[in-house]
Amino acid sequence: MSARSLYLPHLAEIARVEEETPDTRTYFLEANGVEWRRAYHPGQFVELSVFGVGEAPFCLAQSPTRSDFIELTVRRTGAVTNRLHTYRAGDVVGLRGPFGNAFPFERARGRNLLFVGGGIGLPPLRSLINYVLDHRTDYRDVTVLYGARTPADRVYKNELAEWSRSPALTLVETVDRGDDTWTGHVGVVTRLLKGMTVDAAATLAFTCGPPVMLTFVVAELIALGIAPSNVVTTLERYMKCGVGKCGHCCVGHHYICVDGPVYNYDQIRRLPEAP
Amino acid sequence: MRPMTILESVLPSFLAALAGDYRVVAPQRVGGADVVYADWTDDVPVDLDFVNTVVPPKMLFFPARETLFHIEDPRHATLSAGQEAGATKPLAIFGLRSCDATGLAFLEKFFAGRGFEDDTILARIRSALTMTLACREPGADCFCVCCEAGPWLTAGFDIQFSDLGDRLLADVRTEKGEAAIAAASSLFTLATPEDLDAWSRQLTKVDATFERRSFMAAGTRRISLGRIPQEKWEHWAEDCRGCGGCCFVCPTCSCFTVTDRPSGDDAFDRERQWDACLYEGFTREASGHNPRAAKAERLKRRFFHKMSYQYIDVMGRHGCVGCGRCVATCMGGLDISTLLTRIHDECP
Ligand SMILES: Cc1cc2nc3c(=O)[nH]c(=O)nc-3n(C[C@H](O)[C@H](O)[C@H](O)COP(=O)(O)OP(=O)(O)OC[C@H]3O[C@@H](n4cnc5c(N)ncnc54)[C@H](O)[C@@H]3O)c2cc1C
Ligand code: SF4
Ligand code: SF4
Ligand code: FES
Repeated sequence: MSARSLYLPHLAEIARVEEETPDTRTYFLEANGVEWRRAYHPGQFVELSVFGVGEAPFCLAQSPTRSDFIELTVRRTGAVTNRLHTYRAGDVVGLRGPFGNAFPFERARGRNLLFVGGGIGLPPLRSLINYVLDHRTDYRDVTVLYGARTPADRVYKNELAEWSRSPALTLVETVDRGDDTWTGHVGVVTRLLKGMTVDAAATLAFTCGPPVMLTFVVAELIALGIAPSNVVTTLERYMKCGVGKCGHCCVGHHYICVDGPVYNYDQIRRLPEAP
Repeated sequence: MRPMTILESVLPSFLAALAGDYRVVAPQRVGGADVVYADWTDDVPVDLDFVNTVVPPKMLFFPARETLFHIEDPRHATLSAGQEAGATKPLAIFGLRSCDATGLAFLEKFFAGRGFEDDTILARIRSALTMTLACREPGADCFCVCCEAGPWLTAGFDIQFSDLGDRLLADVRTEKGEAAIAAASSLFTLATPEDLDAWSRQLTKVDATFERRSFMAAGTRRISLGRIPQEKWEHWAEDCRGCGGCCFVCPTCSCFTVTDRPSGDDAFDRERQWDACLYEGFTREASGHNPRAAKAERLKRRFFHKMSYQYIDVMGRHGCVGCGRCVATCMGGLDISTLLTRIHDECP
């Protein structure tokens, strides 16, 4: 078959769908035929086909150490994602991947890890967080800061509850607007960073979230003394092929789909175009 | 293989001999000065005097639109092969211009790069027999000589033909080229010392006919180092109509998009189509955010991609082969040649 290796997706059946927020769902995909099921790295992504509509990139949202299924957490925004949200268990989607580089989890060994996530920015971080929890002795303190607009907009509510009880990490959550049941922090996630004491030289920070949040979070992390090269994020660009061919994701001379999506802020500062 | 000659009058017999193993394609005049690549048949005279084709030969290897695979019953997804699956013969292109042969080599390197091989496109390129035709005089828009891509080549072809009047000299560089000539050996004779002399004189004369300009090197430097004031880009970009013509006619441009096009009852074709970085929607994301919303940013992007050291490092050369097609196409004077000349003159 033509172009089989590059553009022809694996077929994957939806095993289960979990409602995360009013506009976001996690899809558990049957991955039996997918040979890379346990051989991807946190930070990598797939191209998901909703046949008849198209393909779009989504990060692999679960750690490869826990992947009985391929898990993707998808927010409803446009054509592909809206159609996907009508899909149920038993429907079939396509997968190509795993694509892109990965979080520098080797470099993270022996360090304090600080994760700062906003809204739908938690899925890529969660893949790494669970990976770290499954290799817990390789790392020092693990702190997760998570901000969402409202309590209902928090993804992975059960997992957040587990993390909050776990001695393996410190989880601090905040929401922009609370409700009657919310007893935690209220305010943007950057507030949690203000006044925090970190061992800056020993800390590697990972942050994903909406662009506005990232701007403030990164400024705050750098103000805490963390070097830009130790502040890691994922760049999001319009993508079509995922394999460095279609040209859509280029920033400067980088193909974000191949050279990225994971970058540190020292690298980002040196890109000839604003990301 | 030593250089051979073939009489122009028997050229059709040579192409006919190739037709067994190859799908033979040659330039054909379709009206006025417009020449295109088309399947060769012996009732159409082979044109040796055209400047270049309207659309570059990339369309033969990387079609403007092609089906990657068929989809039936999308929710349960039965997929089937897009096309021929190796059923077609390899291409033999006669009359490829030097600039375009260089462009084709560029595309080959591109589609093999970054750790992923586009096997369909690579198979088409690698199986092809490339028979170039050295140019004797520049067309109005040609500047291959400033791009190390013509008017004649020293490598990057199977056979390079040079027109010596009543005969063509064949400079054969590959086993594939030798096999092609061997298959029609009665039509070829070893080039005589006189032929070689005429050939050498022609190359010298051609070289003198082409003007070497320094605007490419200067443009590369200024673009790579970000030395061109933003106001300049904004001013120039006002004349961009966003038509994407410069990309479509360019032998090295390779961007594409992918869509699922309805092809029947509950059936779709997943298609790849040429795309252009000058289009507003090229980088627009689902959220509405567009990192290159401004025309100036898109124009800057095209020139950075074509000319910067950053890309030269990866591709081994800059992304323009001087074919001049964008010069003929762009109505805003934003083609490589005109704009690099303006960069050279206006942005010291
Ligand atoms: C590396 C990466 C990882 C991502 N991970 C997730 C995730 O885990 N969960 C999630 O909800 N979203 C994620 N996104 C964003 C997600 O890809 C877009 O929301 C999605 O492409 C929208 O597609 P659509 O067809 O619904 O929207 P439309 O606006 O209809 O988009 C049409 C097409 O444009 C392209 N496109 C549009 N927006 C984007 C975008 N932001 N990034 C890339 N391509 C785009 C896609 O090819 C898409 O099919 C990720 C993006 C990237 C680049
Ligand atoms: S940029 Fe213009 S002149 Fe250069 S190769 Fe492309 S179409 Fe030809
Ligand atoms: S650019 Fe050079 S090689 Fe190409 S058609 Fe013009 S003269 Fe010939
Ligand atoms: S998504 Fe196609 S080149 Fe990166």
